[in-house]
Amino acid sequence: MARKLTRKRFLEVAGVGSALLALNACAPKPTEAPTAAPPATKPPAPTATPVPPTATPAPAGPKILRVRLYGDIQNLDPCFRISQNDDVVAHCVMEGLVRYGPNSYDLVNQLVEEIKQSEDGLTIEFKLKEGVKWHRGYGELTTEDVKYSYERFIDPELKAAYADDWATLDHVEIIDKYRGKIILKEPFAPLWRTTLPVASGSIVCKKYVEEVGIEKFATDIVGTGPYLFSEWMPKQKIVLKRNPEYHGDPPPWDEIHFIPIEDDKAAEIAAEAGEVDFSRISIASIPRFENHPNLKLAKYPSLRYRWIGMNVEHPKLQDIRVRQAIRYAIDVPAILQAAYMGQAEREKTLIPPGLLGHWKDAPVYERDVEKAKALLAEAGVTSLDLRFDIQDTTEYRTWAEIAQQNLKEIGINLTINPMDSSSFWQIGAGEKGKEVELFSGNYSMLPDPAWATMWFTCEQVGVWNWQRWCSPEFDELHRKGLVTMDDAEREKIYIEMEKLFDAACHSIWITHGVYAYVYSPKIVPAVTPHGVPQAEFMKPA
Amino acid sequence: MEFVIRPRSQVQIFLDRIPVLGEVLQRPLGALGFFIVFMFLIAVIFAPVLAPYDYAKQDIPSMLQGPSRAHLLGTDHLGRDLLSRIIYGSRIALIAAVPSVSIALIGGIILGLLAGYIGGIVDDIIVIVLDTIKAFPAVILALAILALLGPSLVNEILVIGLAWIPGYARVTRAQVFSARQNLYVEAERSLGAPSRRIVLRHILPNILAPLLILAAMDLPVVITFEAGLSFLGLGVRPPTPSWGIILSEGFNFIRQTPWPITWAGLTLIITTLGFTLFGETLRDVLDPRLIGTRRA
Repeated sequence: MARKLTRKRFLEVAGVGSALLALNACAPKPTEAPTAAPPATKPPAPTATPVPPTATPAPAGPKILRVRLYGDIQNLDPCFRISQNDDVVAHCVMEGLVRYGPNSYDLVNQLVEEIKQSEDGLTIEFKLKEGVKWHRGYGELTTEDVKYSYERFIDPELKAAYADDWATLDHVEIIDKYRGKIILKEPFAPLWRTTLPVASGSIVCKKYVEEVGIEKFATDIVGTGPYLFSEWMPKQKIVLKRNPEYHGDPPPWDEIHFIPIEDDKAAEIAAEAGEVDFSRISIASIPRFENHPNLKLAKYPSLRYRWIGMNVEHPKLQDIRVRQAIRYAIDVPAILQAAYMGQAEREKTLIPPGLLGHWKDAPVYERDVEKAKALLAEAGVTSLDLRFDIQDTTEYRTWAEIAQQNLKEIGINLTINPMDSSSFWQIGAGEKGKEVELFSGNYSMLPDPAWATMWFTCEQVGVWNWQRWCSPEFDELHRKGLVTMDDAEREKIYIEMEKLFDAACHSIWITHGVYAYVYSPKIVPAVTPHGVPQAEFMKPA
Repeated sequence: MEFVIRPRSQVQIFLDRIPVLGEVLQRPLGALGFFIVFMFLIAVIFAPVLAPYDYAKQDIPSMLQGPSRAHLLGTDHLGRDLLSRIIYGSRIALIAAVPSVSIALIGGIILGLLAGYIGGIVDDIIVIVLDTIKAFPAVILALAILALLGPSLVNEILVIGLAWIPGYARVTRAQVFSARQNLYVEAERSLGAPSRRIVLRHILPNILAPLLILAAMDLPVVITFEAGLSFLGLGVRPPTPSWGIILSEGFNFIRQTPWPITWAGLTLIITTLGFTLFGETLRDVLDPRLIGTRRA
């Protein structure tokens, strides 16, 4: 006789079930064998590969590469780009005169047939490839576009965030439709390393930018590259399509889909589920992917620098002794252990090891609670409430919770303010930036020390200098470093700058870290030596 | 046919003397529910005594450990004792649930009384407002408001309270419609009693019981809802422990250790089950339509 399942009966069964579950969970763990047991004699189950309903093979669909971004795009304009995500997407669409080749820092001609610098370093003469077409029917690339693209950076009205990349540009001279000269006021040391081959060297379509304005251009770009910017679904997907008129080798993918996934763990699940072909993973997950059956792992040393920044203009943090107290209170090794499972090295200074200007004798501030308390007492602070703005990821939440506990011990009450990526990257901008107190900083970098120091000049206060620290001496050295062509001399300049940075005590260095990526064996990834994805060079395996 | 009359035990006789609760405790599911709720309240009240560690105390070298003598339920990613965090998490569950349901109950009663007793255009307006709120799924409504107000426990309580008001208002309104037809209300009205007296002295006391039962049954739903919001990062701020936060943090380290998710999930399930069993039995005991089925 069938028994009717009433709500009461269901609750009875659920109650007993939960009790059994709880008892089971509380039961002691069975002792594990000291060595891996041999496989059971039972043969493996037949594979569960689904059989297609018909014998006719399905027609091959478009070849799509799916790349995970760690956040959505925000501004693709070379003058105002915000994160590495913008660069990774924009490089598939817009090209420069020269670019880094795949998996290297070797320069390759992209839009030029030839390019050469004069001996005094003040003139770079180039000849463009002929017949290069802009996307969407905007005509042919000419020297006029090159002039427009580079002179935008020094336009005082535009106030380009990356103006420093072209700090010594005087003008671009047009010789004819395809030939021109870049004229510099002074020699510029990073030009060939971190200006021309990166997004600041990208050529934009003058006609298009003037037609649509910079606001639309920020998220809808036109270029000459292998892929056309097709569609942007905010927080979901960016779709690029093959450029059928591309001047170089035919692009290997019909489409590239960039999928923003902020949290590394979620991205790892997406990669394992086959929803993305290429994704960065968290450092903590490296051991798990080392022998993964379906994904390959690649690790690269990172140039990115991560730090806890303190706004020196904020009334609560103006006293350097308060900032020093915070620096002594925060347990950086604990952060490295908890957030990176001990897999990341501690960062001591701004410029990473291996690059010109790395300060190898930089001091390491070990945790000293008594000293921190004494500094606070000296500053006349008995209790302090501070806010810590962080990107809402496991990594930064871990930083913040450890800092919160550390600072509590010296009488500082830290409120953690987790924010999504887009909101976070706006907090230091303009007047609103004055309200920032503590923040989790992490900036990408290119292989020239000027790229690290340029964000902390007085001009960058309210742009990217969220510490709002302004040192004329630092600025002067930065300018000197840009025009000094001798590497030994540059090395001294940048070390001096790092000393000033350290003395001002507005940053607590955490780690440069490593970049770890997983990718499908069906693709051949392309990544710079320091781990920046080059989606434009990725190919099917 | 032979009838056997079993003598009632001392316990049963004792329970018979306690109105309502005694009757709930004489039913196995009710007793189980009461036991779970009681243990939950013990955890809430005596958390500082029961928790073996400070819930915020970090011990990085001991992070992500499984159950052991030192940490009965293991540790989280910062080496914090999971048992202590779960015990203190019960406080957040209660602190979020009781005020939220109270706000919803009081707000719902006021709106329901106004709509049901005054009627006409007031009723129409209130119904439209309630239907508008109800049209949004509670989670979407909560996400939208918390995005505006910012995540915090107080905002979370307000949002949950707001999301639950329409349910109480609708029940109150229906009850008032029914109650106002009763002879005792007619009699009061014919004697010239003012509306306030009729509503507060005669209608409200007669409709309160089902609303209180509804509130008791909503508590577990709200506890789960709060855990959901905390899971999404919209609840209490670190280092305050909420079961939702423990689940969320545990989720990030599930590949390294399953214990945080296991314990927080089990606690949530058992607590919800306890409140539901208790509320259901309470309803059975108090519902006059089920009187004939008591102790069935």
